[in-house]
Amino acid sequence: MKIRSNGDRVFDVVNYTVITLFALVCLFPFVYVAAFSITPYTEYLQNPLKLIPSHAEFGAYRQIFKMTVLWTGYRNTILITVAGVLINIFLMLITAYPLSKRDLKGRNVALILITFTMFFNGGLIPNFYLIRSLHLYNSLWSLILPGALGAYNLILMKNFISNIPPSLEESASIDGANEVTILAKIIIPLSKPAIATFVIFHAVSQWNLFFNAVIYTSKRELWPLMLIVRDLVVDSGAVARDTSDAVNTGVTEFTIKMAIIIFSTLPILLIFPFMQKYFMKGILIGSIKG
Amino acid sequence: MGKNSHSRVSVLMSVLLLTSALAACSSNDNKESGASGSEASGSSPAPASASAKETESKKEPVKIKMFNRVNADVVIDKNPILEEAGKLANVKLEVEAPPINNYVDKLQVVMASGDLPDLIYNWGTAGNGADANMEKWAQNGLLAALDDKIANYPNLMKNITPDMWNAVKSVNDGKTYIIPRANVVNHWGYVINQKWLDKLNLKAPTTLDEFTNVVRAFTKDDPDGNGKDDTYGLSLSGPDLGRNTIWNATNFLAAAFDLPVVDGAKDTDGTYKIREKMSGYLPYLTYLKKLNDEKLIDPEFLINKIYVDTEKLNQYKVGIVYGHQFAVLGNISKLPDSEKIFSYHGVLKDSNGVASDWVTPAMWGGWMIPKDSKKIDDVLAFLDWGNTPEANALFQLGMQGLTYDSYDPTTKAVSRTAEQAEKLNTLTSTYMTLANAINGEGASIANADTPEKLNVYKTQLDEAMKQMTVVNVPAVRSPKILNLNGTIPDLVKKKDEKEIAYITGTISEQQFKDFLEKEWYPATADAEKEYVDYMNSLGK
Amino acid sequence: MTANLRSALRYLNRKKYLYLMLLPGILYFLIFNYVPMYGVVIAFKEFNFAKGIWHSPWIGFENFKYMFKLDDFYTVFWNSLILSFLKLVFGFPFPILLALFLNEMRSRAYQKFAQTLIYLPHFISWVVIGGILVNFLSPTWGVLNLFLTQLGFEPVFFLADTAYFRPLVVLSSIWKDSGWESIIYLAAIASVNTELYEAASIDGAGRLKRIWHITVPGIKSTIVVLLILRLGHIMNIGFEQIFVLQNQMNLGVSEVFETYAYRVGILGGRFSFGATVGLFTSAIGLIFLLASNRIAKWMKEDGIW
Repeated sequence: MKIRSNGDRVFDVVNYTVITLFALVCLFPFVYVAAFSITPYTEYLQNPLKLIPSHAEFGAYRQIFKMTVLWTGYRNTILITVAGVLINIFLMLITAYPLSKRDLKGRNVALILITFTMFFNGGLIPNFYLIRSLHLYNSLWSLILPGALGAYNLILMKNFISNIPPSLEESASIDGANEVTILAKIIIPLSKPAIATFVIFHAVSQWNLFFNAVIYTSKRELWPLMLIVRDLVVDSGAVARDTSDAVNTGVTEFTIKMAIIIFSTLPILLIFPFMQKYFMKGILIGSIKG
Repeated sequence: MGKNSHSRVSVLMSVLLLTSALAACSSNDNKESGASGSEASGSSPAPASASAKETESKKEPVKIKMFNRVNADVVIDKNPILEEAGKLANVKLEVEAPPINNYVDKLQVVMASGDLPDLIYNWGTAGNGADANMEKWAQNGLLAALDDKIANYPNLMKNITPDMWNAVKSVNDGKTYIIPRANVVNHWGYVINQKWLDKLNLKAPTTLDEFTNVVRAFTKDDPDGNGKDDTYGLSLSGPDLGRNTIWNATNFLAAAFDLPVVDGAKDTDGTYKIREKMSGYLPYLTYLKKLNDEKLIDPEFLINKIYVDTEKLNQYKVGIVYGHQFAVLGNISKLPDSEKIFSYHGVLKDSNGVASDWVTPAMWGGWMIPKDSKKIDDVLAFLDWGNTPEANALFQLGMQGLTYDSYDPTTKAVSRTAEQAEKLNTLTSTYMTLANAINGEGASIANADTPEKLNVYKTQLDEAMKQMTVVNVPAVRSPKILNLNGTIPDLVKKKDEKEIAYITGTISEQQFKDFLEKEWYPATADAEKEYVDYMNSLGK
Repeated sequence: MTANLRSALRYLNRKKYLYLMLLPGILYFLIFNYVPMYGVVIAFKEFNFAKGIWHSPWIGFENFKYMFKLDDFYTVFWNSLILSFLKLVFGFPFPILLALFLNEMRSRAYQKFAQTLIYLPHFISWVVIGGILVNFLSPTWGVLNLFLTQLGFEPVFFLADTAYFRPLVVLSSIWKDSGWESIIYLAAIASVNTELYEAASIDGAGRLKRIWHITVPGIKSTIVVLLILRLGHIMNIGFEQIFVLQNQMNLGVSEVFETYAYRVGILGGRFSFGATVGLFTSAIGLIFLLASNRIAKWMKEDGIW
């Protein structure tokens, strides 16, 4: 055990307090939504600050489990999220690695070309034409490919890779390894924290995707979850399926909306704890030694 | 070394995953593109052959691609009600229904895409469908003018009144580009918390003084009995930015000031003028100001988005909101015992004891057909069928056995099990109808699936109608007044801001009047003249 | 000449794997970004639905002239600029501090736990969170005002009072996204060589000193790149956030280019005008990006190319 100075101790107290407070503020709306998705409506009306219901009432969940549209939405969303992330990470790695080579001829042209796309796009209609002429209209690919590679994240990834000490690569290239091998054997293992970051970035954006689905699909079977959730939550379409059950359990539009929010975000919340181990420090050292 | 092999395994795994995901997607893709391939052959090149076939034998159903605004609950794929509709009308229906909250976004893209569906629903800002978008599409030559065709379709002619046809005519060339979706007449009044009234020993107000009393009692006398001062008498709401909530279906209150909230009605002196010049305009705003000053109205009444007022009503925060005769039963899906808590009433009486129920042509958007379409007649025939009682009943009630047990067309009594009610929600809705009313009436009253509920609806409507005087207001097709948002967008916005500023007390009455005199009246004089001339020409 | 060609070919051959790897990405950008880019021409045309983008008539700078003539335009410009500036000044440093603080937590388990909570708001879309926020802040039934009144304060009408709108936008976006944005800094911190820390702790350097002398320099290039990219989006406030917080009473301060272009350009079907607004904001963003990238280079930083 190291000896901790007073300054260290003060720092710790401040640090833990600030982070804890901020975390609680972030947590509150979630607790609120979750609590009232299982609280009988009359109890909510009596005290909208009471976060612990007298008994948990899952009537709202029973109601939304009956909504078949939500289940097809789930299937589509999981497909476009998984495929989208895999394609995204693959493309990003193979593109970012050559771009990280400062001496590669043509690199700056490529980077300017890529940066330019952050500012100018053709707008809705040309994009719609493109998707149609690529025969992607009305397929889940139209929700996977557009946006599979974005300038913003690519530039960040490139930046991460160029921070890797060149000495690590050099030793490999002396051994006669080509760039593909170096990317696979050295760069990728060393970029785990960055890769993990972009996996969750892209997963979340795919999970929440909806506008492309409005424009690029015309069939409801292809709607991702968020599109349906928006229509149900924004418009007052979140209604009870079984009114007699709703009367008995005190489920109303409000409770159903709360339950839909929880139902549609819970899976994506799990991705972070899952990816978290890649953020641990010491990966760099560990992989060199291994 | 161990680490390396581990990472190799994970790379391999992800490649495997990738390929399997791709395979999954591409099988999906094949299926879809197969479907869209057949779609393509249906829409652009094939119409000729399809209609040719049709002349040979009437039996072959025509494929109609329909673009409609349908709520998210309805499942379109393999929907038995759509299949039944196809059978009855001898068509092959293919429905595309974007989410209702992004309907206009998608519609704009489809209209610009050069590949138009055969039948397109336009909702429009005014509710009649003949909005600025329709005018632009018509002007750009996308839409078929239907004037010389519609007379051939008896159900269309019978169900759609001359008023409705007039209401959708283009203001530019006077032609008809849209077939109105006939609707039931909405008698806008108010919905009130009946339990609060009973508890405070009050009755539903019919005059402004009674109204003020009720609003005050609802705010101050703890109507919900929770011992807290946390309720308000009244709330309002509006559908979108760019129009103040105080003009959104507020007939119940504006009627007390003889102020029509729709264009096309006369002022108290019997002449036409723009709303801002009418005798009731300033008193109405001043009354709202008074409610706001005395904190008798929901402080958010100027900014509530649509339905938020109902949500506040359902959470017992406010006691009165606007609503029509279907509002109380319609609310049942949101608050399951709604009909036992709330009641509907007609508009308030003015100082002469007259309660004016301004009624505009009853329609809910309308249907457009592309100019290049080779199927105009087939689509019109389909709409013609849509305007029969049979079609209306199918889309509103569903099918016997599937979504209801029994139905009596004369009393509109429906009986259905819980399971059937649930099916109904996923198979159809009023959004699916081609005409939402036949001769002014729908096949059923939404949610009135017991005799008691039907009775609640009938008594409340009867009572409201006994009290009100119906004033039929024709549709205004005077281009300049309809297009103020295009010609003077900045000033329209400024006027909205000034109204709010006056009500909330940021500017004085004098300042508000000055604005009207110096800026608003001069800028709208031209449009007003055209409007008045138009209205007077209708009278002749 | 042939010598040049030969040496170029030799270079290509030597780097063939790198160029082959680059190829799919470049193709992707060409297809998905450059092919549709012809669409910007409608800013100089009067879009006609039947004629489409190619055949609509040219009208030169008419759309721009019209835009500059509108009173609204200047309000929108000002609103966008000030909101963006506030978001940059207050919103940009916050995730960096958060990452630094999180990184200094001794208990890994608690750090993980806190991180998970901090990311929560990001996972819910603005539509949903905005709806909840509007509800929370309401003077009629909002939880926050309920709380205030229980403490004896007057309820505050946050969303109608224009003085509160800008702080609200800045705070709510810090609340929703700064935890999330800190991920990227944490990833950068994770790649800082731990040997440096070990050496420093042997030297007896204090925590703040270590942060300042090792962690911050270690993530400086990430900070710079993110700052440049951020400046490139100076005219983008975040459509959804503004859209859900906007109402008839705060419109005077809440209308920004993105909401304006959506309302007029897409919902109103005036694609030409929408493209004009879009082009204008892009041009401003590009200028900011080029300038800040140049400054970064000048300060011997990496920049984005």
